[in-house]
Amino acid sequence: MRYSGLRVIREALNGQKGWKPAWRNPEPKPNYDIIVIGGGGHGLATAHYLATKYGEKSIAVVEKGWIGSGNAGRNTTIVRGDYTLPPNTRFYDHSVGLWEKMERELNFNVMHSQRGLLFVHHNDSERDDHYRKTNIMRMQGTDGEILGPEQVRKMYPSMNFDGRFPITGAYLHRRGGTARHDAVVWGYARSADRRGVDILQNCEVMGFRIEQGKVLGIETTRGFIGARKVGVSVAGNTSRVMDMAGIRTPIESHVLQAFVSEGLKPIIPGQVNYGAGHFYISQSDKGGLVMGGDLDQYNSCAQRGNLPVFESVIEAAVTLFPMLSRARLLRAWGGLQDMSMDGHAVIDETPIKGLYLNGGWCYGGFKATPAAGECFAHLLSTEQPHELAKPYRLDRFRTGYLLDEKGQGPNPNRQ
Amino acid sequence: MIINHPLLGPRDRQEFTYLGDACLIDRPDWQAGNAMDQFYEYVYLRDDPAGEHRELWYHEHGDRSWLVVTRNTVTHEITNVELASDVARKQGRSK
Amino acid sequence: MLDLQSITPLWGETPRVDRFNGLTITEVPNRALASLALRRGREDEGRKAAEAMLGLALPAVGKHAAAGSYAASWFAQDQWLISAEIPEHELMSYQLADAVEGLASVTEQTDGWCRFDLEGACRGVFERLSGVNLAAMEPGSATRALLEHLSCVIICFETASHYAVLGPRSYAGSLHHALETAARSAL
Repeated sequence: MRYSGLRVIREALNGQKGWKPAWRNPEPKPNYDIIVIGGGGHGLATAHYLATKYGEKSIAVVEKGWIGSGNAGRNTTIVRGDYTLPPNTRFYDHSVGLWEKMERELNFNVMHSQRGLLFVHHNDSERDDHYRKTNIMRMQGTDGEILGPEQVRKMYPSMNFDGRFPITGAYLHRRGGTARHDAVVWGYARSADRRGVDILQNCEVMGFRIEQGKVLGIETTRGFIGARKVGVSVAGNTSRVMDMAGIRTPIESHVLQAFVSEGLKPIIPGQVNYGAGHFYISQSDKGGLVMGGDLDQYNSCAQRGNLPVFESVIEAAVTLFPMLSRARLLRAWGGLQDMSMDGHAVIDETPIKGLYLNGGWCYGGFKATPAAGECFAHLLSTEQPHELAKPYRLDRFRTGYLLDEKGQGPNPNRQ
Repeated sequence: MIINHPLLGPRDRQEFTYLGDACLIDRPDWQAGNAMDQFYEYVYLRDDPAGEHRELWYHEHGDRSWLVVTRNTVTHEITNVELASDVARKQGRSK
Repeated sequence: MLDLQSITPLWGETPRVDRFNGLTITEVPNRALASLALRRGREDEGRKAAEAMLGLALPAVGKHAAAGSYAASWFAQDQWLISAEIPEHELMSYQLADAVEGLASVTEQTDGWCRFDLEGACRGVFERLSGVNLAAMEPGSATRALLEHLSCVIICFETASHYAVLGPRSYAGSLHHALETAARSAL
């Protein structure tokens, strides 16, 4: 069923009786050609591309809870392409381009809003670093420009320019913005489902059936399901799932906290990043301020964080926007990050034939949703890496081709 | 989170800096025949369990000692704290 | 020959004194400071040599000892922060290094630290600035802890009413500001 303004009117006159479920709730078939483990943004985008661009006909997405209940439901909704290493710029720029076309492609409103990403700086060396970064970005064909303090003040008059770390300017990435995180999951789910993909919820993978180095299928809480190929797309839980296949990964699980305030009238027009501490903020269309900061920095699978980071995020919020000191916080939660050894993802085959991995997304998975889906679908269907995914090999840690955008060394908690 | 330092008693998490899995104590022998493989696994691969985890913490804002903490990564409950120097020496490392 | 006068960590010609409602915060410059670290395998000999020179027993974990002109705070395992008032002790670290030669390592620390002594109603200040367990600190104890994001040494002379806070000298302004703000807020 196509969504449109006309349909909204028609259904309003029809007592809303014509709306159909956006996706089915089928029983698992005994086997599929391709199974994607993980019903998040990436897994469902993968299924969408498998069914559309790659013409695959026998696909299932297996999700342990309800779709979008993992990190797709917990992120801070930022979509941006402000990277500097060429492989990253190519990949994320492509992803932003796919976001720009997504709503038309999926016939679904994902509320993608390119409201601009601002990163303020506070001293000469930070400013120089931002000049360097935006020069690199522009040379590679994406947008980034430097603003002086007066230009920043015009955009955000309520920012505190004279605090402990005065604001001396910023860089602006106009194509950056936000999107509704649940909607992208639902949009891809609806598209995949109407093209025959079975979305199997409440279906947790308990193990793999592997014989002579080849995957035969998955053991789940809803029984064994056979497959020719299996793609693992569970970032946050990659280590646990790959452990079931006997594979160790260059990934540590870390918690990243996020916060939402009560609904407020529009006061933060774009997405803002602080230069004197790790903090970022934007405002959702419901009016809540969405904020985040550093990882808690120790291994955790708890999906909740501790007070020190909570305090420092709120401290930064009130330092940057003193007007926020009276606002009330509505929710605080944690997501589970696949922190990799160089801060970037793995989209690759594994030593087990038929088993493929899409993981290690650190805190950058949401913006990568469409491009990761496309690349993983390409890999699963053709068994060859997509051009854009070639740098994200698992063996790059052995061969030395690390994507050390941040230059932090093999320290997952500092990426 | 409170870490019960063996010498100093309970201390706030903020006094510490986290390094990672305590497997880092077992640095491979660089002159071993398969040193390349061993170093690849040592530097880059991790067990990353959901459950009990032995890890290295540095008491940066305290006595600057290194600790091996046994902590559950699901509940964050800490069940054991030892001086890393004791652990390393017990494992035959260090002089 | 120029007559050079030293300035305090807060850039004053005289030490800063701030009075609050029941509390005085005094800047304390002019202390010779050195860290002493016993060398592995020579710990007992090193300790004896240092104690002979200083005239006090090097204190146990979390303790602070003072005798005559010298004081020592436990700093880390087999490490202490030694201090003395400057007038005859400008060359303290050299004298200590000579006394323990080969048995321990001595690092000159004078002017690397700033120190503020708090006398009076101290509790409220520390509660706002540090997670250290102040109630557990008896007279003659020393601990290293975070005070408003700064790595400091806290020495207790009198429980609840007389402490010294040492911090990195380059953070003197920040530390003083933190103490001042907490005092104003608490008192």
